[in-house]
Amino acid sequence: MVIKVENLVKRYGELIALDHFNMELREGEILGLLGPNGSGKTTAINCILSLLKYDKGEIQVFDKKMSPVAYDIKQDIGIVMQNVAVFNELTVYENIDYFCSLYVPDKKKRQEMVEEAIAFAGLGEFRKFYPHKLSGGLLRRLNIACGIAHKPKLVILDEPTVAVDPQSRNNILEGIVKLNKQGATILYTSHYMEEVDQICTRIAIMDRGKVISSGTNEELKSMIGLGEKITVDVPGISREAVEGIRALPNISKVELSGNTLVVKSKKGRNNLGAVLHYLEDHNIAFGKLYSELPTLNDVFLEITGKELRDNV
Amino acid sequence: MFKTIFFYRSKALLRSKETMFWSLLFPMLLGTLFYFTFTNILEGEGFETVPVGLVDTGQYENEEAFLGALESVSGMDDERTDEGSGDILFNVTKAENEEEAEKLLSEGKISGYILLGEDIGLVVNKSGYGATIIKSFLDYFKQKMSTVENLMEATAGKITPDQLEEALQTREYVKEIKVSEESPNIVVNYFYTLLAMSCMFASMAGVAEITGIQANQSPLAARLNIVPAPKLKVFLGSAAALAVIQTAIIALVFLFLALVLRVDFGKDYLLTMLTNIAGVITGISFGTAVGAVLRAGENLKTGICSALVMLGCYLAGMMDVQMKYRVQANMPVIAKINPVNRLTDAYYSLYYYDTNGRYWQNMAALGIMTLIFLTVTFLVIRRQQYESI
Ligand SMILES: Nc1ncnc2c1ncn2[C@@H]1O[C@H](COP(=O)(O)OP(=O)(O)O)[C@@H](O)[C@H]1O
Ligand SMILES: [Mg+2]
Repeated sequence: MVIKVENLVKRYGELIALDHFNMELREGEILGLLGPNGSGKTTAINCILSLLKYDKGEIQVFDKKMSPVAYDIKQDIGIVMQNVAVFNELTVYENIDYFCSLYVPDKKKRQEMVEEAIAFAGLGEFRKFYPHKLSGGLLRRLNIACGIAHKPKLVILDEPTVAVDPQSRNNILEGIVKLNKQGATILYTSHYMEEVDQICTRIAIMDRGKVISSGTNEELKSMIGLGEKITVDVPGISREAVEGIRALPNISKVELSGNTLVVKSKKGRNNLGAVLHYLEDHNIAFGKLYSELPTLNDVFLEITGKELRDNV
Repeated sequence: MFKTIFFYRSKALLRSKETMFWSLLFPMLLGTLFYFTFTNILEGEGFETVPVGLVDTGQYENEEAFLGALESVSGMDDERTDEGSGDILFNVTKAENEEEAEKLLSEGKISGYILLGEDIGLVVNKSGYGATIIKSFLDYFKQKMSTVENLMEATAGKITPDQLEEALQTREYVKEIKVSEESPNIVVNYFYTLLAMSCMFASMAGVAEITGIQANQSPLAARLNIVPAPKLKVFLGSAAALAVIQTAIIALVFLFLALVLRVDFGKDYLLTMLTNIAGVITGISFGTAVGAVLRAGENLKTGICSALVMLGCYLAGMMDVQMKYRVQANMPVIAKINPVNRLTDAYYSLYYYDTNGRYWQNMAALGIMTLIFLTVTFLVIRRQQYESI
């Protein structure tokens, strides 16, 4: 086990930021810690890193008890903090070299690693730039390069894509998958479900300081009682036709509001083909049509009764 | 690791505009300003003794003591001594009455006159070096008198002649403000406090060193708390770089004062440089202690730190040299524990005294202060985890 957290409790005065938080990170995984802002992701990471005192709980990293002086454990961790942490008076190259030097004393070895990190983050043409000359996205990429240059076995990234342009975001997400392929185990936090959906091999959903559900993407989605959702514009559809669709197999709910028909399927079922056939067979004219599979937001909604994104 | 930290921290410091401004440019500008303010004193009024008038109405209760004190630093007009010899500060001309003294003053024959009525009064018609010297002498005398009175009270009048003499000592004072051949001692003090200030400004960077490793102070500091090394090691590498760079900067300020503005630092430049180094180290450790002890954001800590340094400069006489003597006389403890004053005094000792006893006393005091500051710093930052970041 790379990280094992048991019953972690952390209070900030009156506020309970972590309430019996449990988590396991296995070797080779990309674990996504998904939760709305304020759900305790950063607090959990800071406790895992022994930056914060906590009130209760056990934390093990690489099967050893984590502590502020566990330098052997820290040696193998790469951390990308939520807030960019670089030296303003040092260039891109110098910053990466500085942080790498804290882990890798050998200068020659380090030189290669820094070059690799620069290539990895796509910062080649900016190596002589000072941080304040970089765009938000590039700055984040520098922050990541500083965290991973020493090739750690465990990489922890806390919301590395907040406030970055789409190009940088893709660069970052692809980079994380690449790191994982090269052998790093990854803990990734985000409040964007699309990202977690896209890159994580396993997901832990957090709310109010605890993990409320975890599993693979598919496991989570099949936990809830929803299947495909089809939305279609059908001007002037007859009452019989609506009833006909409702009578199709595996349909859980059909709603008509104005010209828009929403068809929800039963858990784990897809009905797009059947609905299309029905409309064509009965010569019902239809306009815009789209189908959605359940998202992590639906999962979150079902468990907590609130929207993931609305909590921002 | 130490080497890389040292190397990059040095680079960062040399690139930091704040460091360059506050440590290098600001003292040079202020020094230049002082230079132009004081050239009048340095060159213009090139006299050594101050001509002063005296009107004695015979009403002053401590008349005898005062005349004695005045005599000990003056050549009275009837036994005029050679100008510039010994400890002669004033050339006293006795006037029969105020009108006569007023006449002498308006003719420019005296810089001012002392009016011994029920109290001691001073009349001058323009400010300047002469007026300042007379005024400071009178202040000094009044202070001494009140010391004596206190002493009398405390001992219920049973004061020994030795005690009285010691209390009324004026020699020391004369030495303090004696006008030497090249430049009045009073003026060099301004430049010495200035150099002391530059050293102590290293404290602001010292604050940054501490907040730089306190995880609750900045993301960067938090980041440095999860590297595989004790934060003391990171701190030492970084602080060593700071000490070296600041010392180099101070050396430049010193050379600028000594060679360009021609401020007299005495003969032993090596010891002056040693003082600079001691000053920088005291400054940095003062900053780290302030940074460690205060629970506030970095800006507030830096602000408080620079305010304390400026207060130290003020008390050491950077804005008005009389302040230094006043503090020394009334609050000797403050003078003793004020690092700016200690530094100023160390420079001054090198300049003025032939032996270095007083110099090493100051250096030892600075060493003790540094030790205390560093102990405080380490005790506070040893705690490694935070309740909240
Ligand atoms: N230093 C702090 N002091 C007090 N409360 C805090 C502090 N840091 C975070 N919190 C609170 O703890 C909760 C969890 O915060 P955080 O771990 O930052 O969440 P996330 O990273 O998921 O957005 C929030 O309610 C936040 O307001
Ligand atoms: Mg967070």
